[in-house]
Amino acid sequence: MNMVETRGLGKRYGRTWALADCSLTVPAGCVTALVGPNGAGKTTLLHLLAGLVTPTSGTAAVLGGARPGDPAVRDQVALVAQDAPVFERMSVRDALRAARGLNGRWDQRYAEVRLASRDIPLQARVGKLSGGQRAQLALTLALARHPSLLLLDEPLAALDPLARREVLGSLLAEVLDEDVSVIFSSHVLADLENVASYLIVLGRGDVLLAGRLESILTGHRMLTGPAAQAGDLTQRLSVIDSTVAGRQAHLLARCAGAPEGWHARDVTMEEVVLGYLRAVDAGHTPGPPHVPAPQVVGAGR
Amino acid sequence: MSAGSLAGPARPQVPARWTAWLIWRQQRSALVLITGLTAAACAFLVWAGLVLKHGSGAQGNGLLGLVLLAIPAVVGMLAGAPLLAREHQTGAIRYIRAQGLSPDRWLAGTLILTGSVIAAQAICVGVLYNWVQSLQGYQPELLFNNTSDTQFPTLPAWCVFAYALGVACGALTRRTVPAIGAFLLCYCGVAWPVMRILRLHLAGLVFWGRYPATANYWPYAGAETVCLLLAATVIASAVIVIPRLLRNAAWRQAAATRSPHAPRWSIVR
Repeated sequence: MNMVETRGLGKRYGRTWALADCSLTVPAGCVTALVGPNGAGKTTLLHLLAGLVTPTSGTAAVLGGARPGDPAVRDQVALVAQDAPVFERMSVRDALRAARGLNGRWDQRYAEVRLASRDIPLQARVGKLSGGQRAQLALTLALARHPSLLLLDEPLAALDPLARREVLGSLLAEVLDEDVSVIFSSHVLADLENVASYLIVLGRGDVLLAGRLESILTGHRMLTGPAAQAGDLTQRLSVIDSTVAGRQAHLLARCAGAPEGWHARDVTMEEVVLGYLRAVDAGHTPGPPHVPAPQVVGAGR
Repeated sequence: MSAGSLAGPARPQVPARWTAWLIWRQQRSALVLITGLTAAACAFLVWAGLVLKHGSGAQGNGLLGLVLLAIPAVVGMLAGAPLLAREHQTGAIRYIRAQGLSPDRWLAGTLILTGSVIAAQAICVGVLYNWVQSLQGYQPELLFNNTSDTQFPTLPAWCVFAYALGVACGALTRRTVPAIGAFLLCYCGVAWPVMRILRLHLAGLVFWGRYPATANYWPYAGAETVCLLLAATVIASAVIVIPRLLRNAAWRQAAATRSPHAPRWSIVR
């Protein structure tokens, strides 16, 4: 079953396309990293998948074919929004009760135990909690619903690196026990490394790259060789990004091995993501023009 | 395709009492404030009635009537307009919309529960005012009477109507202060004057054109009450149904619309 499937999905605000022609398939059971710079369309995509906003173009389906926001799947899709807004003026205890009044699937015991283990007092006001505690409360409110699809929109943005690592680590341990698919957005790449099994890179409203992290990492190589031959290689290979340092050129290319005279090494997720983002910033289309890129089904004109 | 297969074996209902608790918790401050005002109005009316009963006969209560005239406007400002505007402003509406319960059901529950509480309190004030008027020896007269809006059963109907109108203004403006402004404009500027003009014609409708006698209070009041409650129901339903229709239309429209450009990049699978 595909947890998420979109075809030509787009959202326009005024005259700006926040997300354009987004065609994606995310299989069930993945922890998906959704990365991209600010304004790339991450929040728009997550809000579309949660049914919070309606698209301008295309279709979207969650949990194997339901429209986001459909009453049949509402119970199973949970979103933790960016600023994690819960009822600010309520106590934590009341926020839990409120969630209970909004969800048929609600595990009060789980929520209480999870908050207690993080030293968040039930009588504290939500608005008075620290950034980390608020993030933990928002995560608890989502996890206690035992969703099948958990959408996290930069819930860690307000946290310091140490707290971020801690929150993420404990979250992942829970997620693995729960059999839940997670789509996790962030612009901090360090958040996502060693965590994701699926990667989506968004840039300027476009899907730059989407696929299993494994196949992305094995499908790309960092090639090092003489700068003089870099231009020639770009004609023959699908080169995403190139940096020249002195007489050495480093090329991020979509290939399996090294060409004559070049040294190839494995890439990290960060290198791939940054390579694609730099390339789209430079307005540069990867790959030699005479090699047709694999066609995407359902692409626009 | 069938959505039933996706929903898993059990789709538990949201316990109604917890939803009711949530609605009470969200509306608590507005309801407490309105209950306080109602209590004050009732106390004052009882005092005025007792003074009339044991005191020195009739005395003018035009000022009192004018103060009570503001009750529906206060209800719309305090309970109606902020209801959705505040949730939009704080972002809580996004949280509510991403939960298992349909946000339409949350809104319908809120409107019904809060509207009933407001109606019940307004009934108390209206009945007391009728009593004070009867002590003064006034025939309850609807037409051309400045204080007729503060009687039973028109006062509760005005309150419910103002509440629904305020909620609609909040849904449109999504900001608390503009919502209150829009409500006051719609209520004091449009709805109330229109109803006062309509009253004359309403009389014609009820009595087939014959000029009404003052004794026929109840048919008038009944007709006006029914009109106001119908208008309130229409407004409240529109606040719930129209966004849903727009959402469905947007999804259908989007499925038939293409994005402006093809992807510049290929997708690795």
